[in-house]
Amino acid sequence: MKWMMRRWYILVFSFVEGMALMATELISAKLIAPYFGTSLYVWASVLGVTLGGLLLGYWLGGVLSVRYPHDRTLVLVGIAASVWMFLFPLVGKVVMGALLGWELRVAILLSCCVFLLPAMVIYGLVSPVAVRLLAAVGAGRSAGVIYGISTMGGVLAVWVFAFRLIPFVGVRESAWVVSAGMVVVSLLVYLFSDRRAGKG
Amino acid sequence: MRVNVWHWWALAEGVVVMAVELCGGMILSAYYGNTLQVWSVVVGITFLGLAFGYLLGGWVSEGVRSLYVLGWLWVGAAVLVALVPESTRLVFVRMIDKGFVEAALVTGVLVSGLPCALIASAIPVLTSRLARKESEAGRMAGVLFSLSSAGGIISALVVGLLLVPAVGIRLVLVGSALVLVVFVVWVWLVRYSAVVEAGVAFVLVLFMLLLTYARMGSWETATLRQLYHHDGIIGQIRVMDSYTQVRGQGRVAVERQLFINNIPQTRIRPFPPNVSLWNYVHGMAVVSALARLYARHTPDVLLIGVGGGSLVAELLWHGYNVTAVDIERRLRTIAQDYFFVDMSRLRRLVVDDGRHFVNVAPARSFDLIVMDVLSAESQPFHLYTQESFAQFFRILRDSGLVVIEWQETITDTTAIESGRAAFVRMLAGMRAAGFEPYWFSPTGDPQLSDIILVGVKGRLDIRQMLRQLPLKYLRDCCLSQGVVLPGNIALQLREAPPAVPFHDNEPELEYLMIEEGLQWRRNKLNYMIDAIRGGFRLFR
Repeated sequence: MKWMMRRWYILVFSFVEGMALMATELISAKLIAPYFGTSLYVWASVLGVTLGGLLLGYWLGGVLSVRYPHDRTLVLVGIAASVWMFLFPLVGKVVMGALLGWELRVAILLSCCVFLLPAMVIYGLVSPVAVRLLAAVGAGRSAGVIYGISTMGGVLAVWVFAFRLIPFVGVRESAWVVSAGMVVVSLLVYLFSDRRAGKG
Repeated sequence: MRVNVWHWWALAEGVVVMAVELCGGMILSAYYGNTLQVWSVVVGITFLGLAFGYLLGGWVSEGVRSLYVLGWLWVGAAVLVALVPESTRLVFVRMIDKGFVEAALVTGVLVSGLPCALIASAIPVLTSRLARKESEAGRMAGVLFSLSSAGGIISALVVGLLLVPAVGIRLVLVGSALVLVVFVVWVWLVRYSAVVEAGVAFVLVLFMLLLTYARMGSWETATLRQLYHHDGIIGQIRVMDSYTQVRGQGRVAVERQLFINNIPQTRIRPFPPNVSLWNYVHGMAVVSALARLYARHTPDVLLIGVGGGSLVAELLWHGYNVTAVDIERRLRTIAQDYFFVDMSRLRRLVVDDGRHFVNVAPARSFDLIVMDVLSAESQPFHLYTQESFAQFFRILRDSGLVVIEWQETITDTTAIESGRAAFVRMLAGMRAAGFEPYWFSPTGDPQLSDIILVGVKGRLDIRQMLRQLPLKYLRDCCLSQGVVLPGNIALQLREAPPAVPFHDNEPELEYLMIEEGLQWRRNKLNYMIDAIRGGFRLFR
């Protein structure tokens, strides 16, 4: 555990990624509402695409963790998430505007596939790589801690984003906060992993 | 990669976690509603449960007999899942008087938090079994969590869209408990030859299931009788007749109501014609009658929100061409079969979200828009923004009205003058979109739980028109409601004070209405509490 705490920045990265994932889900639902409403079709599509994206992301993340088991892999994934989240409101607006005249359920699902799926695939890459980076403590232990911490980030995101940021700061701005958060933690991993390597 | 029992286990974990989450959410909605606060309690507890489960699984994975321990965790989850129908009822009847949110919290822990924690502990344990060396840890975690996500998708589709509507929540929970215990029994028998433990686990879960079924409750009590039940796109839909003894008269009054998530949406006497027992419907019908005066032809009317069809009945009585929009297709049959509305007289019934329909409707296609879209205590916040009203304005002809039912209880009347009340901000959105906005309360109640918002497009003097409205344009039921007679509405109509409109980008209305929604649920549940205590069933 002590060894794990020495690599605290990976835990922080996982926590913020968990927050970002949940925030993105919430932001998506609110972004869709003015175009297609807030019915169960919207929530089911958001949930389904989120799980589908994570499925792909976890799988690819597993492959990535074997080929590139380095801290900088996390940095690159974090930057990719940040760029996508910065563009997220714009992409969503363009796609949903184009699909407005389509049948409701098809339009919702297609929109989610275009703007939400890539974000979820990127988030899904994080945990397997992080599990690999901390696997010296045991595969099960590492998986438990990483997924546990990431899920706790999700809990915090519900309160921060659903009750504060989205209603009062705005949907678009919330996506940008997520984008900024991912840049900050990527920077953190970049800086501290270098420092650790230097010391080592 | 060779598929083995551990992969199937991870898939089963995803299936059961999602099934429990979905059923838990539906049960909580039925008892405690679906306001943002209740929703976040559910999500928060479920996620905390999952987080705790992953950490627990990581800890268990270090032990030698980790699969054996995991088996007991899953048996515990199976027992909790089997008991959900009974445990939620017990928490409700024992705790509801002490605190609404507290009861929702405890129910959330029982239906979702604890079972999910115990079930989710499987993945780290399985990761540790599959990853033989450090370099495989990430890949195995990725594979197992992928399978768990795949299970979640399958479950969301099969359970949410097929099983719950077809067989009900109770049977889905039974199936989930059995899946959990079957996996445990299998692993214990194959890996540890633990026949006694496997037998104990199976009998224990079976006993809990029987116990739950023995206390299932009934669809009929002395005061309530259920005629229709469906779990669908907008939640739990029920049609019920209620019986109340009329004081001092020795007779029983019968009312028929449409409930969505146990909040009444439509209320009539159980015989034709459909005449609403709520004032607001008649208030909206009277204002809607003005379309006869300003439209140059038979008015084309858009009705958003069908419910039990009381407003459809009013608008059809006027002889209008009515296009109705609702997201739930079953409401057509319900209105026709249980609420005596001839739905075949509608020009069109469109199954769509109201905002989506308005977004794509052609410009200048309606003379009147009527909106009554409550879904339980949850109001369609995305329809009340300035951008939404701009779409309403676009699809109305040059002279036209938009008439909206809104519910808000105002105890501090300065909230209206200062522009803090939610409905005043909605009116500000109407004004910014080009309407001349007015409002009135059809109950005359100073607390204003029902508020009707009226937006005028074009040069219509609606006060004058109300005064001149011939009474022959009104149904007898509307004429019998003094408070909503046209002259009285003309007197009650008030202009909106300046306020800040709501916008699509800042969906704060939902947040601002949290307390209101909770209070509303508390009030409406009082209606059901005695029936539930008397053994009335809340879900299938």
